[in-house]
Amino acid sequence: MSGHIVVKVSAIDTISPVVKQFTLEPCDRALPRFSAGSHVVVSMPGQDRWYRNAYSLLGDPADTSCYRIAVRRQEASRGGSRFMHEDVAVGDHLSISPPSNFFLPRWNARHHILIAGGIGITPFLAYLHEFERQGASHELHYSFREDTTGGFSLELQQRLGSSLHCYQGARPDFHRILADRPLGTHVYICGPQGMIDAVTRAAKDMDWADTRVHYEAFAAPESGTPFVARLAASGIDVTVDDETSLLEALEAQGVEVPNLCRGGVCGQCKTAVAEGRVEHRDAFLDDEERKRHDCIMPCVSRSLTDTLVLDL
Amino acid sequence: MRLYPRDTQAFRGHFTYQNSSEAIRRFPFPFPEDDYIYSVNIEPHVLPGPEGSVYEHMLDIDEHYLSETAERDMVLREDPDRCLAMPHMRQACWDLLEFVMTHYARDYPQHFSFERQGDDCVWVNHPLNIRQSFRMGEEGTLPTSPLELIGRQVQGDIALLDQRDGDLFMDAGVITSPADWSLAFDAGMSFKQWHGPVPLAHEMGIFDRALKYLCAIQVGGPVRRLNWTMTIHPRMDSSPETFAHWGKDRTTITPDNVGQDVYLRVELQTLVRMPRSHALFFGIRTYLISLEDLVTHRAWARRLHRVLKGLPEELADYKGLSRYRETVVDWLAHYDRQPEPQY
Amino acid sequence: MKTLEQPTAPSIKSRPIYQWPDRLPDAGDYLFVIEPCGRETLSELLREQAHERVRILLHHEGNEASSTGADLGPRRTEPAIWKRFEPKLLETLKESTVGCRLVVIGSEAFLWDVRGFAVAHGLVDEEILLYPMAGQGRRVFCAHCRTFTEGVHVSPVACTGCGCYLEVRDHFSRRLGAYMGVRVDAEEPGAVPQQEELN
Repeated sequence: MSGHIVVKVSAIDTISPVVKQFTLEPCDRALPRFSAGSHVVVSMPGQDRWYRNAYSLLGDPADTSCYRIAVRRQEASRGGSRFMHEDVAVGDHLSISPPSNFFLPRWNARHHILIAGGIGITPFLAYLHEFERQGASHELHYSFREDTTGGFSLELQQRLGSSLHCYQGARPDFHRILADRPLGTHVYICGPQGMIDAVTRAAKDMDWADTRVHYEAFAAPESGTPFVARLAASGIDVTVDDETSLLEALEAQGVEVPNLCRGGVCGQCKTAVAEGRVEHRDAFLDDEERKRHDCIMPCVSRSLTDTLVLDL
Repeated sequence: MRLYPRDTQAFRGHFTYQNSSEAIRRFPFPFPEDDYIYSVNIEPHVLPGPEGSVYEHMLDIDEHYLSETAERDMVLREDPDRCLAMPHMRQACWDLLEFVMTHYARDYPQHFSFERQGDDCVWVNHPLNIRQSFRMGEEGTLPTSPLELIGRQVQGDIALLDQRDGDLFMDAGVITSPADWSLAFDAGMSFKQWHGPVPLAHEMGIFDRALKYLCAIQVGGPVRRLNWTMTIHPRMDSSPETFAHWGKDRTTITPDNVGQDVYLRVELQTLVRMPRSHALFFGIRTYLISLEDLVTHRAWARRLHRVLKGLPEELADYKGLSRYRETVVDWLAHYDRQPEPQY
Repeated sequence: MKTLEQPTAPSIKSRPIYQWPDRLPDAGDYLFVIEPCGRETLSELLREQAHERVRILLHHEGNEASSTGADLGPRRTEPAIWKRFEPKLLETLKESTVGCRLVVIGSEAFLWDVRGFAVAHGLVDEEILLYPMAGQGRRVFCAHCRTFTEGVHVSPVACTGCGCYLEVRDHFSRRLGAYMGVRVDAEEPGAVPQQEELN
């Protein structure tokens, strides 16, 4: 893919038994600057195919001498996080995308409430650098299990003091967190879907407008039913198994589809559908477009029919 | 390439502005077809573009650099509100300053240099004879706001768009050569609001599609498009603010002066994601060419004739051409005779 | 309710289309900010249902005067009057918390003054309901001298700042609460067309 950046792994730190932090340094060209909340997509060579996972940049956006990412080893890993944990060593080269951002702080907010679950802390580590520099009012609620993702809590304690609230193995009371907040408060959630749902429900109960509530689901795409994608131009059939996205399956066949977020929000990979019905999982298309079943976001969406004919 | 003539030319008064043959050769003629139809004509700004073309570098500078920055200075002195930034655009303004300095110094090293050690920076602009030491991100180390400082040294207008809730907001800018729009009025507007006066395109869904596309622009993926209108005399500042000065020019066009007095006005718009703030840079570089110069390129003359002839009435009105369109079309018809049959 | 009649499809897309419900949605905390012309509408809205917490702020005086300037702050109703009103509004917003709904009833220009101030102090548009009252006219921004002419019912209108006749366009700035006014005879000085009623 064009625009890829080759980086060298200059350090690997063990944050907890299941989380490793990777420091990535530039090789041939300077690293692009990035905004808080950005992620990069890391391409990893697997045994029979490439894995591509998105990881938030957790370093200081003012410092582009290196990028830092943290990878949690997923038990049901599709290959990516296992590869990062087992096969990557200091000195290795990795290929990453330039940074993209779909989870930006609201610069005009007057107070920021950050709610993180486990490895969902990563984008907020970058947020905190900007908030500290700008003197922006903020607080962090961090829910984790000590043995897994609590590794960042000591550093955070030192940086945040009393505006850090830790919840070890317990779910925070979101109604209490959101109660009696001054106007101008925005809330950001990064964590498992269940946490996002609980906070958005609490916000709704308390009459918070939707535009005050911001979240990024970092969970891996849901699996689905296998199907066959037929390429109209060549007649080639591409099998998409339950653990692979349509985009990944196409890439494995050497079919390049322009893409950015790999998470159904940017719209870059939109592909025309000639036949079949689409199970839309993206956040880009509107209801009218969905109903027509004439296009698909192959990075997240799948097929409702056994075969989906693509205009490719 | 030649960056500037020794003397600055005027975009007002006696209008001493003129294009060299090189400037005519590289003029960004905006019509790919004989009919002008609305489309989302946005494409990746792939760099470097063809050598010598307006697309060669991220930000194009040409022989009018000194003239345009002098004109900009005059407008800003008369009307400081042409430069505006809302408080939440602070980081975006610093992004912009760094972006312009970096690209000018990289692409035109004979004219600009930008040295940086950590946050300590030294910027040198030879054409304008400016040497500025400052600390990146510290307002107090600059004589003016970062937006005004860099805005005065850029060729072309600039706006910074804040992105929130899936929309873009015109929350900062330095606009001294607008094609009949006012930053003082449009500041703070959403994408569709500031395009409010544009006819036909809303109903065609142009702005819905363009907005989605622009919101998805990422760092390192700049895009560009061309826009056009016409102006009487090479007047850069065709703003609503000064409409009383230039409006009556539209009634002065005759078959005798149309070639010298009517200018095609083309905007090279570039949209670039600013890295730290995620604001969108919206650059508007304006190129002016008299019809007399334009028709030295036969294919352009023929095509402009056909485009203007077929232009829908609403569009001609919106672009302010209605009073003199016929005179221009008649004059250009001369260059669009039936081609000789070829055997 | 004597609310403004509005075109279903405005000729220019920046012109607001107001969505005012006859019955207010359920919310725990309502703040009403009204001009005298909005009293009747307010009592109709309050008659419809009871709310847990209701606060009402009345802006007493009209806004006939004009003023100049285009600073980045929200454009205010006549500055002297607004100056007396602003501290009260600020105090009320400061003691409000997220979840509060703001309802503004009055002339269109007043609605946007209050909305601009509220947004600057942390409210978001989803939390604000605007009820424009009929017969109050438009605020017009002179593109040339940047004076605001209030309560405009016709176009072209003489600018209270520079005296030029302005064509009142439908292009609307929410930040300024005003319609764009551009000299109508700029192309042919002296050729001022017949005034027409604005809708």
